[in-house]
Amino acid sequence: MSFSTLKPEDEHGQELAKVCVALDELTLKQVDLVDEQLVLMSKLGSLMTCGFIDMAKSRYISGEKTVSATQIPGEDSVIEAVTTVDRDSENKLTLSRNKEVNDPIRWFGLLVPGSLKQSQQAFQNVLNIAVEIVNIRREWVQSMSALEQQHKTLGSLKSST
Amino acid sequence: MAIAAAKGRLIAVIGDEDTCVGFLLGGIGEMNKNRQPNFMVVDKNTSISEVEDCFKRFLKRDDIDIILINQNVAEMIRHVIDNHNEPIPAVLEIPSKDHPYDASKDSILRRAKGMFSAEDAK
Repeated sequence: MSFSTLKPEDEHGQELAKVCVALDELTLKQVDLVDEQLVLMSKLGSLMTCGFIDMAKSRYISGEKTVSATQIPGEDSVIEAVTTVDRDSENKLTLSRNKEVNDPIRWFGLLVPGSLKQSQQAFQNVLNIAVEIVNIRREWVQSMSALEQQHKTLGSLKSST
Repeated sequence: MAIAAAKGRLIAVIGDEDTCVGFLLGGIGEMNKNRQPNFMVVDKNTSISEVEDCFKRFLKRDDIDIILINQNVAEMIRHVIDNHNEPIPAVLEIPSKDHPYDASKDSILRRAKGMFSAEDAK
C-alpha cells in the first residue's frame, strides 16, 4: 500500500501510517545492525589472521611441535578458564578475566617467544569482538520479531479496508 | 548453579587445531572435574557424527553461553545449527585459517533473508 492512498483524517488511515513509520524505523535498524555485524566480523577475521601469523612465527622460532594441541593439558588435569562471560539482567554479555588463574601461555613453555604473546593478545581481542557480535545479534533477533509483529499488524489493517 | 553463576559462564570452541590453540591461549579453555573440556579439535579424521555429538553436548551444558565454531566445521553439521533457535547458548560462526567468513552461509544471517522478500515491497 502506498502512502498516497492514506487519508490522515481517517482513524484507520492514521493507524496505518503509524504502523508504516514503525516498519520503516525497524527496517532501518535491521539494516544497521546487519552492517555492524558484518563490519565486526571482518575485523574479527583479520585479527584471527594476525593471531595465526604470530603463532606460525613462534613455531618458526621455537620449533613446530612447541605450539600445538598436544601442549594443551590432557584429560587428567583440571583447567580453569581465565576468560569467561557474565550475563546481566538484560542478557547482555560482558567478558571478564580472572587474574588468579595461571596464564595458559605457560603450557607452551616458560620462555615463550614474544610472537606467541602477540598471538595471545590477538585472540583476546578476537574474544572481545565475538562477545560484541553476540550482543548485536541478540538485539537484532529481538528487532526481527518486532518487525514481524508490525508486518502482521499491517496485514490485518490492510485486510480490514 | 550458584557457583557456576559466580564463576562466570564459558565460551566453547569447535574448530581446527590452530583455532582451538589460539582461543585457548586467549584463556577460554576449561576442563571440569568431570573431565569435560569446552573445546574440540577437529581434524581430517574427525567424523561428522563426532562433531555433531560434541555440538549437542555443548548445547545441553548450562555453563556455556557462547559456542564459537569454524564456518567450515559448521557446514558439516549445518542441519543441527539451523535447528538451534534458542538465544542461549549463542552460536557464532567464525572464519578459519583456510576458509574466510562467508555471510551467505551463516545460519542466523540466512534467517533474515526471508524477512526482506518481494512481498513486503508492495
